Parts: sequence; C-alpha cells; structure tokens
Amino acid sequence: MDSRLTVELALTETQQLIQATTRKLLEERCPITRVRELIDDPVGFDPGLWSQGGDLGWYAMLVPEEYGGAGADSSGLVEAAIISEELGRMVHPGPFQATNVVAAAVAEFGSDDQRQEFLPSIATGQTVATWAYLEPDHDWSPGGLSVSVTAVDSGYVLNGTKTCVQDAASADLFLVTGRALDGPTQFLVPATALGVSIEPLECVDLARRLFEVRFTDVRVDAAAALGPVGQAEEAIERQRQIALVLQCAETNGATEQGLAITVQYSKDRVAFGRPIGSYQALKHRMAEHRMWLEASFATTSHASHSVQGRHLDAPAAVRIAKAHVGKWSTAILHDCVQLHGGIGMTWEYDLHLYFRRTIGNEVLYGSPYELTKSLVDVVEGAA
Amino acid sequence: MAAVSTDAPTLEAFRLKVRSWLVDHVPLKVPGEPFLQWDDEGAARSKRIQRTLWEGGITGVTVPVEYGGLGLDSRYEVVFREEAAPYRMPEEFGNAFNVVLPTMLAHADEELKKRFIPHILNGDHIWCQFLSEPSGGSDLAGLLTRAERDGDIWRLNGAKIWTTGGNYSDYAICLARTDPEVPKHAGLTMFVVPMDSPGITVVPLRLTDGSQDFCQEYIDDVSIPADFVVGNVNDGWRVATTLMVNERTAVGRGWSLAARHAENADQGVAFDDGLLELARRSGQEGDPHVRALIGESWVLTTVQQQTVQRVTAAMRQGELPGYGAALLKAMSGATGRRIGEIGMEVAGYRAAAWKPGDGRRWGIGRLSSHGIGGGTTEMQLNAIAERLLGLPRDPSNDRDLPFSQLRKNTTPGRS
Repeated sequence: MDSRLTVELALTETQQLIQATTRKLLEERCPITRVRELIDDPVGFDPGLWSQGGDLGWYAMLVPEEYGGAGADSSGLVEAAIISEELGRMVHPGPFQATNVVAAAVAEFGSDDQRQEFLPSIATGQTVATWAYLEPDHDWSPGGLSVSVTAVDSGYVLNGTKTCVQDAASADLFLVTGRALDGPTQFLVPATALGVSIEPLECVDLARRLFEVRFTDVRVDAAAALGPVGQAEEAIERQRQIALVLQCAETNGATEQGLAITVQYSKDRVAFGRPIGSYQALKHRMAEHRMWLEASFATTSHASHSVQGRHLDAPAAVRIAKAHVGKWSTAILHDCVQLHGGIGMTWEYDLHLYFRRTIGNEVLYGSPYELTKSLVDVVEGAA
Repeated sequence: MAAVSTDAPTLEAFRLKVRSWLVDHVPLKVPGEPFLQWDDEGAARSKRIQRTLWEGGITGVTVPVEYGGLGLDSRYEVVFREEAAPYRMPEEFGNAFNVVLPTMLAHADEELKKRFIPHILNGDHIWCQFLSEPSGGSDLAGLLTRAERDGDIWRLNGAKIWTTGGNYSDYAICLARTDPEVPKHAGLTMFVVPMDSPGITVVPLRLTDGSQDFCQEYIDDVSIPADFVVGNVNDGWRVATTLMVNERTAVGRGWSLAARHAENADQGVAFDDGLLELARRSGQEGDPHVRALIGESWVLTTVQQQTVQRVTAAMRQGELPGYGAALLKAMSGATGRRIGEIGMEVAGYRAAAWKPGDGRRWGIGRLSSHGIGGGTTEMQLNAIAERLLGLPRDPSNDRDLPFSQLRKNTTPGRS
C-alpha cells in the first residue's frame, strides 16, 4: 500500500512531531499483542500509557494554554484528529475521544472556576473524563433526553440512565447531559458522587469499554452546571461535532490499517500459481476501497477544519463526513475479511479487531442513516 | 524547465499586463454557459479569443521563445491562470495546450516544433487526439490503424474514435502501427495528421443521451509527409505514455486553461436542491426514506468535491503520482451511478416522461450515469490497484508475441 494517509496533506512541523511521537509510543508500548492482552484486563487500558499520552499532549489539544493546554478555543482539533488517526491504526483502547470532548466542553462553556478546577488535570491525563449522553432506546438527537434535572434548595437532583458511556469504570468525572424544565442541561459530576452506579456492557469492539450509568437521586451543587441551565443545545451540538471529527479520524486510521493488511496479504498469498492480488476480481475491489478511503480522509479533513474554525457549514460538514466514513469503513473492512478467505475469520488474525472498531464507530454518536436524514433538517433549518 | 530570459518581467508586472489585456479584450464567463461548445460558433469564438491572447503577449507562458512562447517559469503560468479565472477561455484548445503542446516539446524535432507550436499559440489550430479505435480503447497499444512508408510519404489506413471536437479540429496527434512483426508496444509511431487530408471522414458520434461532442474518423489511404513524425519511428508508445501523463496531470490540475473562479474556490458545503424541490412539489418531503435519499445524494456530491480538492492538491504537491487522477475518475463513475439511482427513486413517474424543456430529465440522468468516458472505471481500478497499491499485474498473453500473431478484434462498423 502507498504511504500512510493522514487528515492533513502537508503536516506542519508541530503536527509531524505530534504524529511521530504518538506513533512511536504506541508502537513501543501498545502494539497489537498488547492490545490483545488488554482485552482481558479489568481496566481495559493501560493507565501508565494513558499518562504518557498526557505527556505527549493527547488531552491538551482542545485546552487553552493558560490551563496547561496546547491551544486556545479548540484550535487544536486538527492536531487531535491526527492523534486519533494514530490511535485508530493501533485499535488503541481508552477514552481519548470522550476525554477530549469533555475538555473542549469545559473550555468553551465552563465557568472560570470549572476551567481552573478541571482543565489542567484533564490536560495531563490525571483526570479521566467521559461524556454521559445517550439514553437507552433513544436516538442521538437532544430532543430524546429524559434524564431528569430537578431543582432543589441548594442545587439539583439527577435521575435517570445513560448508556454507551465510554470507560465509565475508570472515569473520574462525568459530563452528564440531562433535561431540566427549561430544556437540556449539562452537569460535571464526580464519579464518586452518591447515587452513581455503573454496569458494564458487552461490546462489539473488544478494545473499547462501554457502560450503562444510572443516576439515582444524585445531588449536585448549582455550581456543577456547565453553562446556563436549560440552554445546553448549542454545547451539545458542538460536543457532538468534536466527537464526530475525532471518531472519523480514528475510524480512518483503523480502516487504512485493515486495508493495508489485506493488500499485503493478497500480494503474499498464492492461489492457482499466482498472487491472489493479481486477479482483477480481487484487485478491483481493493482499488475501490482505496478510492473510498481517500474520500474518507478528504471529507474528514474538511470537517475537522470546519468544526475547528466554527464555519457556518460545520453542522453539515460533520454529518456528511460521518455518513460517508461510517458507511464505507465497515463496508471496506467487511470485504477485507472476505478477500482474506478463511484466515480472516479466525480469532488469532488481527483483522477482526479493526473491523470491530469500525462497526462500533459506525453507530456511536449517530449512525450514517440518522446523520444523512438529519442533514436535510440541518440545511432546511439554516435556509 | 525552460530557461527564464534575463529580462523577465516581475510577477507583479506580468499580472498587471495580463489583467489589463484581459479586461479590454476578452469576454467574461457567462453563468450557465457550457464549458465546451463544439459548433461553428464555439470553435470560431475560441480561435478569436486565443488570437487575442497571443496578440497581447500573454499566452504560451512557459513555452520557449523560439516556438513563439514567453519562456517564463511556471509561477507566471499560475499568475495567468488566476487572472484568467473570470474570463471565457478558449477551452476548445484544451487538447492542444494540455496534451499536444507539452508532448511535442518533449519529443518532436525542432522543425516540427517550430512548424506547429506557434499556430497553437496564435489561435490558428485546434487539435484533437487520434488514440482510441473502434476495435479497442482500453488496450491502446493493441490498435489496428497502420501507417506504411511509401517513398516520401506515410500512408495511413484505419479508424479512430472518441475524438473530442474531431469535426472542428485542424490537426490530430495520431498513434498508428508501423511494424506489426514486433510485440505490440514496439511497433507504434506517433504522427501529425492534418484533418483536411483527403481520405479522412469525420462522423459525429451520437451518444445515448443525445449529445454529440465526440467523433469517429475513417482513415482511408491518407497521405502525410514523411517528417510528420513525433519522436522516432516505432518509438510511439513512449510518446503516447508522455501524452497520457500530460493528460492525467492536466485533469488533476484542472482541465480548464484558467484557474477555477475565485468565487467558487472555497464555498464550503453547497447543495443542489433539485431533489428537495421535487420532494416538496410531490408531497414526499416528510417521508424519512426520501429525506435519507436526498441527504445521501448531498453526501455523495459533497464528498466527491472534497476528494477532488484533496487529490488534486496531493498530486500538485507530489504526495500522489499522476495516477491519483484514477481515484477521481473511478469515484465520479460510482457517485454518478448512485445519484442516477436516487434521482429515479425520488422522481418516480417523472423519470419516464416530462414536458419538453421542463424538469431535470431524471431518467436521462440514470441512462447516462456510467464510468466510461476518459477511460473506463475498470481501467482506473487497474491503475489504482497496480500503481497506488502495488498489486501485481494480471498475466497477459500479448506482451512478447509479434503483434501480427495476436488475436484481435475486427473494426466494427466497417464493411
């Protein structure tokens, strides 16, 4: 396969450094053999490596400089996407996306006190943060939120259930999106708060831990609200956009690696006296995958700049990117297994780890079908 | 790169010269006008405009001075293309500038270059390409048109097809077989053929959608001078390879003789709302399936544009070889097919019949949504697989045998 693709065609020196150090750390400390070990690990990711990622700035790209971050105002989203691609190439476990989404939310919508309290420790990796958004049997639109937020004397009480919360068991901090009387509302809730209980889910992605989180009469201070109560709609959209950009980048990394494995295999594997990759019946399929993959990087690149720069087309751009990337990543890796034949179906062969990640990513933060439909809503709403 | 003359103007001075000449002498683009207009009016207008560019001393920017050009480096070409963006360029000269001219510069002898290149620059000659044949297009090196030496002349016989603007061209660059007793790549020669030569019959080719931009030519005992050979005799495949690289490079950079209009350069995400209007008119706008289809068509067209931007930039920066253009051609075929399907599905009966001049001709969109023009999707996929992914070639039966011993198609349509 030709040289590795990346979200930016021409990386700046800083971006090259971020990419190279991330790649080196992952290759040395978390190759696929280690990823396989972590499948049976109680935590699911390596806390030591998580901190080392913090040293490289993995959680600092969306944090302003005065709070120990690398940039101001989400200006580092493209850099975060470059890291996410590398994590995807190695099907890396751990809540990179969720932590970055929470970091961006606190940076953009938090009070000065909240920024001071949370951002420096998120940026170093000391605080693991995750986003509790989706609710069982609801879709990804904020209209479906039902976790209740009730005002009491000195604060609020949360009740309800969230699902697909990444690495909830390891998280120190939850960003919880609920519904107050006035509308959607978000709170920063410490994992130690009374009334928070978690239950692990069985995940298609063996290198990713998702949980159901139940909030039973969880009391929070008024100061725990992120932004004005009842007015979180804009923040939720922004968080989703950031999550989708990072997810698309990760998916692209995983898809490219899966395709590279397949192309190499088709060069090495011989049938009827010649490499199977020389048969047009197979090579044309791989060429089509290469084509849609290039398009995936193109649309993710556009979306990352659009969201980073808060361009007017950002809501449409991320939906387009995810609709494309989600659909083609699983289609490509499904066919990569088919192109391998029997070996592709075995547990010991790594391909299914990549395929599993793309299956999970296709539907989390919104499926291509949901996002494609909502694209028309977005355009009509803007018109 | 051609040497830059010591009295080259500054870039800024050249920009001002181009700008002031264009504003006084060349018409602006008219929104909605076709990119190419292959008729008497279109060809004549392009010759007039090209003549004007030549009179203003702003064309042939990188062509050496001895062939009538300005002898400047490619930065000046970029300046010209930028300044020309809002103007109607002589796009019917696209083959001449994008393909023939650089191929001639690379392979033709001095006499040929001095004879023909100035007439491209001054607007005299529109050129077309005689490559594909009715007997085969993808397997170009297997072509059947033959050229035989007869004293002072070459005598050509055969047929060509898929020539853009063949009926309005003055010259063709023509690949023909000069030695059938060697393997197919080794017996080809590239010729210059005057289109007014006795024995050339140009027939417009009518496509399924009714368009007639392509032609087919019959070549019957056409005599051309012995020295109308580009490069060496029996070395035509090398010339053809250069030609195809030039073509791909131009497709990658943008086929137009000007840069894209600045107003359109960075418009972000923009949608064709024809489908949405149709859905509203037909009461389907609330149907979630229809909304998903409309969204899908927007995703496809947007991602296609984004990929064109990325791949052309990658080729310009050397991140992708010229074969990267195959990604774009293959993708436009796949995208077009799906958009054709979606149009049918939303349009329903409207795809079958419409009032003349009314509506989007959804059925025609489906009818003509193939990945064939400019090289079939299958050939693009071969290029991606073999050149970008490095997959091995299929074994072929024809690389080492003399051409005369190969199994060949006959030329269809000839009695």
